Amino acid sequence: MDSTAFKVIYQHYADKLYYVCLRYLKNRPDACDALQEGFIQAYKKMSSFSGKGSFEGWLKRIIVNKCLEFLRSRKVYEELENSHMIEDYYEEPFEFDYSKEDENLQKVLLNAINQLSDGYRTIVNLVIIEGYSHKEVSELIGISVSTSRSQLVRARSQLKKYLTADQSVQIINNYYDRI
Amino acid sequence: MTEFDKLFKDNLKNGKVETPSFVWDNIENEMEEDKRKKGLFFFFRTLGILVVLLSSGLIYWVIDDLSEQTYFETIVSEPSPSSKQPNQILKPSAFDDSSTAIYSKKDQEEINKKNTNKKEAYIYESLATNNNRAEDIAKVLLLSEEKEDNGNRAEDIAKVLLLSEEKEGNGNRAEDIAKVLLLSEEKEGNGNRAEDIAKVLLLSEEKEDNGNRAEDIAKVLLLSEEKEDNGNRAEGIAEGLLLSEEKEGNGNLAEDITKGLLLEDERIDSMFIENKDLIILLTKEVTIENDPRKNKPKKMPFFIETKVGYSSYKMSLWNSSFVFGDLSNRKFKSSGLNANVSFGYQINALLNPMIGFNYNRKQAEFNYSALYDDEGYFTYNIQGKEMPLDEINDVDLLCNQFILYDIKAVFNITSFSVTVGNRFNLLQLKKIGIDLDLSYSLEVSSSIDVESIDKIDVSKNLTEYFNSKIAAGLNINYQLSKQFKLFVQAEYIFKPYNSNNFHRSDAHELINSLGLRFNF
Repeated sequence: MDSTAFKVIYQHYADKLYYVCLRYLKNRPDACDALQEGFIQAYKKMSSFSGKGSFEGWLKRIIVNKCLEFLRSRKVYEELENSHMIEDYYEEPFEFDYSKEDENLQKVLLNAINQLSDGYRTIVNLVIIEGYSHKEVSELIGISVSTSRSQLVRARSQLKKYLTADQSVQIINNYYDRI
Repeated sequence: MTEFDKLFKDNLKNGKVETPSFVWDNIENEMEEDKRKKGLFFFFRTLGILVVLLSSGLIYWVIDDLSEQTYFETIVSEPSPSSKQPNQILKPSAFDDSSTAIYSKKDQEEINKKNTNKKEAYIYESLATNNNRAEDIAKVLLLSEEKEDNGNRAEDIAKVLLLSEEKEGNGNRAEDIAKVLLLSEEKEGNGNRAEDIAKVLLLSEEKEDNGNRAEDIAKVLLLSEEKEDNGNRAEGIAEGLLLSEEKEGNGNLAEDITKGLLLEDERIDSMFIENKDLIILLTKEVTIENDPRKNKPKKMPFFIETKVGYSSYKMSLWNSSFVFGDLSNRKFKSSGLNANVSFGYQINALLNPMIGFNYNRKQAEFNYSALYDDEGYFTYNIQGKEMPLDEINDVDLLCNQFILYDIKAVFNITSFSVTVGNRFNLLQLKKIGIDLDLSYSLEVSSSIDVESIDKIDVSKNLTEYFNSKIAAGLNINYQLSKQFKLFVQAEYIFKPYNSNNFHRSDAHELINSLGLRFNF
C-alpha cells in the first residue's frame, strides 16, 4: 500500500482513534505515541486484514492493544492484581442530573474517567465502553476474572463519587453564574 | 448493562479529538524508513541467495574436482596382488557385469577369448616385476586360443611359471619347460616330445619312486639330442630334473606344484574379480573415456572479450592563471560509462598478452572560485553572455584582478584509449577462474566538453592527446559454455599528470565492469 492511500485511511480514522488513546492513556504524548505506533503496525500488517470484520474494528483493536502495551509497561496490571479484594462493595445510589444533549456531558464523563487510576480506567474502558466481558479482559491484560470484576465495581464507585462532586460544583457554579 | 454504564458507553465510545499534525509526519517517516529497510532487506536477501548459490556451486566444483582426483589416484595405487580385501573402487557404468560370473568360475576351460584378454592385461599390469615371465604367459595363452589341443598345456605352463616366482630353485626349470613347449608348437617334430614331458610330469605324481620319472625324462631328452637346435635346451632340462631327484624335498615336488597351482589360480581369480574396474581402467580406450581431466575442453589460444562498466573518477582541475590557493575548490568526483573491447592470446597461465580499445565518458560537476586578471587568456561569459572585465564584480577591490566566486561548471569528459597488457590466471577451477590484468593505456584522445558553466567559459584548451595511464584489474569469471565466459571485473586506473595550460592532478579511477569473453 502506498503512503497516499494510507494517508486517506489515517485521516478518516485518526481523530476517533486518538480519542480512544486519550481515554486509555490520559496524557497526550503517550496517546500520540500509541496512535503513531498503532498506525505503523497497521500499515505493516495490512496484508493480514482478512476483510471479514470491519476495518475500523480491526484498526481499533490494534490501537487498543497498543494502549494496553503502554499500560503494561507502567506495570498497571500488576498493581490491579495486587490490590486487595473487596468482597461486598456497597452499590451507592446515583442520580445524575445532566441531560443527554448537554454539550459538556462528554467532557465531564471523560474527565471522570481520567481522574481514575490507570488500572481502574483500563477496566472501565474495556468493560463499560468497549464492551469486553470480564473473561476477555482477563485474557487481554492477564488478570483474573474476579479481579476484573471487583476492580470494575470500585471504579464505578469512584466515578459516581466524582460525578456527584462535580455535579455539586457545577450547581454551585451555575448558582454563582446566575447571581 | 446499567444506566450508568450506558451513559459512559453512549457518550465516550465514538468521541473524536483532533490529532496533532506531527503524528502523521512521524508515521510517514516511519513508512519511508520501512520501505527503505524492505528494499535493503530484499537486496541483501537476493545477494545472500546469490552468494549461497555461488558458494554451493564453487564447493560443488571443488569437491567434484577433488573426488575425481582421489578416484584416479585410488585406482592407480590399488592394490597389491596378494590382497584379498574388497576393492572400494566405484564401478564404472560401462563395466559389463556378466563377465563377473564367467571369471568367478574356477574351471579355466570356460574362460572365453575376450575375458582371457582382460585377464592377460590384468596380469601384465599387476605383476610389474615379472614382466618377461608374464609376457611369456600371455603368448602361451594367446597361442592356446588358436590351438585347441595346446590349451591345457599352455595353461599348465602358466601355472608353473607363476609358481616359479615363489620358489627360486624351480624357476629356471619351469621356464625351460615352457620354452620347450613353445618350440614344440613351432616345429612339428617336437610336438610329441613336449607331450611326452607332460605325461612324465603327470606320471611322476603317481609314482613314489621318482627315479623312473627321471629315467623317462632322460629318454626323451636323448631323443631330442638328435636334433641339433633343441639339444642344448633339452640337456638343461634333463640336468635340472635330475638334480631335483637328488634332493629329498623334490619327491613331493609334483604334488606341491599341483597344490600351489590350485591356490594360485584361486588367488588370481579372486583378484581379477575384485579388480575388474582396474583392469578396464588400465586398458587404453577405457582410460581415455573415463579420465575426466582428458575430457576438459581444450583451451583455445585466442579470445575476444567485451565489457561495460561503471566508472568512478576523481581528479582536480585548475589553471594557475586564474585560480589560486584556497580560493579554489578544485577537486571533483565524477562517474560515467566505460566500454571496452579486448583481444588476447593464451600462451599459459602467466602469459596472456592482450590489446584493447577503450571508450570512456563521464560527467563531472564542480564549483570553484577564480582570481582573474585582465591579462587572462580566457574568454569570459556570465550566464552565456560576454562581459567586459570591469563589469565583473571586483569584490576585493584588487587592481586589475577580479575574483569570481562559486563558479559552477558541468563537464563531459570523453576519452579513447588503446590498452596493452597481460593477464595472469591466478586460479582456475572447473568453471570459475580468477585473473589479474595488468595493463598500460595510451589515451589517444581526451576532451572535456563543458556542458554548462555559470560565470566563466573555460572550455578551451582542455582537449588532450596521448596521455598515459596504468591499470590493474581483478576479474572473476564463470564458464558459461565451452566458448563463453561471463566475468565481473574491478579495475583501478592511475593517470599521472604534470603540466598543461590547465593543470589536472593525478587522476584515480575505479571501473566495475560486467563482461563476456569468447574463446575461439
